[in-house]
Amino acid sequence: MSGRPKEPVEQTSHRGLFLLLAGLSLAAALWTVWDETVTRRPWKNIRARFNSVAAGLGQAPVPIEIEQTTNPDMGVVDRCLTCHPAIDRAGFESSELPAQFRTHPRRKELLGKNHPVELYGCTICHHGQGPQTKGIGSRQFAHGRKDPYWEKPLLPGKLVESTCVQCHNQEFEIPGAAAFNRGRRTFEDKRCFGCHTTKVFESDFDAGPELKHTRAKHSPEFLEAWLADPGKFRPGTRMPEFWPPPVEPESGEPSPEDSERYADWLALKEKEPRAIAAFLGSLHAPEPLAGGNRKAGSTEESIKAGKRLFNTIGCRGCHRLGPESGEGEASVAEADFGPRLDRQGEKATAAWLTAWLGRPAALRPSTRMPDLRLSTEEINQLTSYLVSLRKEGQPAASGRGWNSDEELVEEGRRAVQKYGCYGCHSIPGFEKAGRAGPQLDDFGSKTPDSLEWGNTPTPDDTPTFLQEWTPIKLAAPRRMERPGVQLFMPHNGLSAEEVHDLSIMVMSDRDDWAPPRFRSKLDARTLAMHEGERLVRQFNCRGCHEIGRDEIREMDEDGELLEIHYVPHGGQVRTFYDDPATAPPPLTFAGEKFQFPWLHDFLRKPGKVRPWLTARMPTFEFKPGQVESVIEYLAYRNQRAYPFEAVEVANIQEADLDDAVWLFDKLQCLKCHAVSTMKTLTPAERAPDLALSWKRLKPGWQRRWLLTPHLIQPGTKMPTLFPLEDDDIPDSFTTPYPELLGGKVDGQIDILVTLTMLFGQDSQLSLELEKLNKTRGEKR
Amino acid sequence: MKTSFMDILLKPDNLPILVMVPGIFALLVYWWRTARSNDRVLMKGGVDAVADDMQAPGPKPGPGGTGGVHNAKVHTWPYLVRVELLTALAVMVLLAVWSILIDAPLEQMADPNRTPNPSKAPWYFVGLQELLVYFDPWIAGVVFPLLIIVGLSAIPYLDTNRRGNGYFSFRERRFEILTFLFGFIVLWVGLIIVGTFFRGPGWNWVWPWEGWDTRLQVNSATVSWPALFGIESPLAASCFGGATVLGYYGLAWVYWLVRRASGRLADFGKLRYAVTAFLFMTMLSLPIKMALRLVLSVKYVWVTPWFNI
Repeated sequence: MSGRPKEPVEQTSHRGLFLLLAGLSLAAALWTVWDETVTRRPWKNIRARFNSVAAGLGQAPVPIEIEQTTNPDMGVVDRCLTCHPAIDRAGFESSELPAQFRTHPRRKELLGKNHPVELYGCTICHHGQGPQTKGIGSRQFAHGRKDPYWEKPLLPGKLVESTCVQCHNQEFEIPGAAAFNRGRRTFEDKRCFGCHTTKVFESDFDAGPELKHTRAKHSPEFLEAWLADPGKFRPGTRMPEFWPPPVEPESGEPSPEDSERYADWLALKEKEPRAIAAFLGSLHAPEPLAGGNRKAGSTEESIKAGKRLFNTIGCRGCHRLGPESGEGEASVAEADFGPRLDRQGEKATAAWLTAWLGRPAALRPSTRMPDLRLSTEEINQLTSYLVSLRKEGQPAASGRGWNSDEELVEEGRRAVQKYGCYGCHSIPGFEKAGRAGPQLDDFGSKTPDSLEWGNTPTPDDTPTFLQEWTPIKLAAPRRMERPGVQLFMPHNGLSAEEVHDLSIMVMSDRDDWAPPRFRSKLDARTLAMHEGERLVRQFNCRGCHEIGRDEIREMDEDGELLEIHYVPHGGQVRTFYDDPATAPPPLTFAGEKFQFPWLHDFLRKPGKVRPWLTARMPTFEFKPGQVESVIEYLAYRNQRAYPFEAVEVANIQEADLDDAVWLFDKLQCLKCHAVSTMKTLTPAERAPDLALSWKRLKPGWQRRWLLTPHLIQPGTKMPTLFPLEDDDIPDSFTTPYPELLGGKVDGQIDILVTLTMLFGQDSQLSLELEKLNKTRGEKR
Repeated sequence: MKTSFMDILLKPDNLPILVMVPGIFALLVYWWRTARSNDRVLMKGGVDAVADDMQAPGPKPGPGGTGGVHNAKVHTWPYLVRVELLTALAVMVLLAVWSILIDAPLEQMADPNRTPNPSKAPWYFVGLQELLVYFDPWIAGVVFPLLIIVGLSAIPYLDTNRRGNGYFSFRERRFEILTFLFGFIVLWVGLIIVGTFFRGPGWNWVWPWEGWDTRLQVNSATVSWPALFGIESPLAASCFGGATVLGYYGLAWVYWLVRRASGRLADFGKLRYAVTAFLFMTMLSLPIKMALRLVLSVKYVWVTPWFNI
């Protein structure tokens, strides 16, 4: 220390320092008050600004205070309304207002009674920082999107639809969440569920065919090419690409052909499909193919007949030939329900096709392909046709020439294990392998460290990482690969829209779904509608049948109705029929038309109602309860009660019966209809047997049918019996026989309906009528 | 995903350490300058005179002064208390400004199923956590903390050097000061800095220029000490490891045999020397084990069926 003579430090008074520190303390105290009351309350300014906006619109101002909604059960403390006061107020819809002060764009539809803001707040659906009215220090306030510790940042764009399912988990399709619904359909359509489980989607069927008959089904050359690139053989196939061309992790661009990555990929692509084909070819099925030894060969005629069958018996409801054969893209999803069948002859052997067409469920118990009850001849014709579907010069599948090299087979087994083929396909030896991909349960709550980024450039450390990771992963599943981390997810060829929608769907599976009492509780009827719609989709009923239609009213300038168009939902298959009357019937009014016990029996064991139809209602492998669900759905669609409904037939007198028979005869019903179950219909009698009506049809529908058959089934052969007096006045029906029952159309229809309901029950009456018809025919 | 070193450095959590490091450095510099100056005075004035003076009753002179006011007592009031007041004011201002500018570093909701990576102890215990890399939990978490507390409590009974009390000096307490500086600055503070700034996700070593990457997976193979010498049989390895550990502590005994006649050791006496040597050698074993682990990937020196060291 210095030895200078001066006042020792212990005894200096530090007056200056004291004053300085005292002043600083005061300043710090004042700063604290300022910080708490002004700096950290930016919402005061915002509310004041809102009030000036409201005054400009002539709306009531809001008090300068925090607006908060709480729901302790769902953990909601939301102060969003503090800065967005107009969300649940009408009158602020103008797009000229700052977005912050606008009314919720779907207020009428979503808020109000459906999701009262007082109960639900905002963050249950939108996420974001509910209680927050300011930024936290250096962390910017961006509704949680810039705060690395905020687990639920505001969901941008359509991603908000990913929260609907936390309450609406019973709905097959959530109303108003179109992107989510599309994503869930893509999840099913692309068979994502083969490898991944999720709370949001469960499947009733297996994702891919069983592979135990590979040896008898394919040729090795085909199988190798198919495995290496299924989309090349059959564009649009659901089988994904397991050796997609590599991309550069950093840029996402395709790897250049002289790169090491490209060379590695090429080597794998040449080696592994060969090995897998050899392995699958080495598997011997436990039992040979039923009907596998096809005796009859293909002839010109059988191919032609097969083609006719293919187009008209019903195959077209689910299958199409695809672009390879000159058919464009399918206009509706239903047409691509099953695999596209162009080049099927190169793919499957005649023996396998024969067995498959004979009874699909025998080869693959969970298949959605129904049994068309084909005769041996029909099977032969269809097989001939399908085998003939080949690219020029390509050989038909032979099922011979498998490489039995043991080492190669073993390598193939390892590759099957590696790529998880067993996720979608049942493969002997891999029965207990489970799902091939990671579970997607709680995927939407994933943390950064549980995701593999590889060398892909990562976003800044924000909580939005999952929103950015998922689309990259879905678009190029192997891009995140890096040395030491090999990825096996195949390339699904998703379009940008599909990636967007599917991202929303997979992110909707979070670990914090709403407590049960907040979940939507659908009443039995709505639930049945959702279940029915699901089954209709699952069995692809709309491939053949119209179920539901949109009515489009064309108006002229004065608002006068010009024309009504109907846009059918489904039934696309009818374009393959020259005569629309031979196409599968529309089921839009099925609930109104059919008596449910009959419909039940019919769906269980379909028979011939219209023998002239070339389309054939196939036999589906319904699980217990599914038939009932489908009928319930059809009933509710038409506002009918299910399962019990009175079949009310007007009680008619003996005299009326005579009138009815007279009218029946006059209208020449018997020209087309038969009325006896005893007799088979001739092709000329192209109308259902009326003797079935008493069990099959409901009188109410019959009345409607008799009046307006062409409205119910456009293109029907049924003539208009009671024409309109004036085309512009609906329901102005007239009868051609005004002398009967005072010319009352209602009365005439009543006796006709009652008569038809008597046919099946009174065989004597039927026979008499048949006789009557016969004698008249002879007279003629 | 990837956090740069600057982000880690400036995290509000780490501010105390940023304050502590220059603070300790400043204190060290102050001590060193004072101690050197005192040492020079002592050289001139003679150590014994000062030491004798310290034994004597009455006011103690600071060695820095040569008489005058420095020898006088100073009253608590007002001389000490007003300095304390000033200090309190300064701390209050500092805390107020700190709390306005830097918010509490809250992180996500605590969830036992989802622990942060890396999971770190409070900053003052990060050094102890670092020990877990080198020792089994029963040593790193139980034995070492216990020995640290016991050892610190025992210092008054072990430290026989009566010099350098009440004033800063280095010459007179070289062993004591170096031992303390090594234990506190190098091991305690040093390991806190290592644990805070150089241990990233998965408690892997991360250099400042690397940045933290949660994806980083480091699998380092380790060996045991006997295996380095090709001893594989468990029994032989166990014996060899035990011999190494006992031999290590035996070095202190050899030192005693050689130097017991010299003045310092004679003052210690057998028991006191044994305790001091045990604590000292145990402390030294820490950097030795760290070096073995970091350089030679040695996980255990002594492997037995019951415990591993």
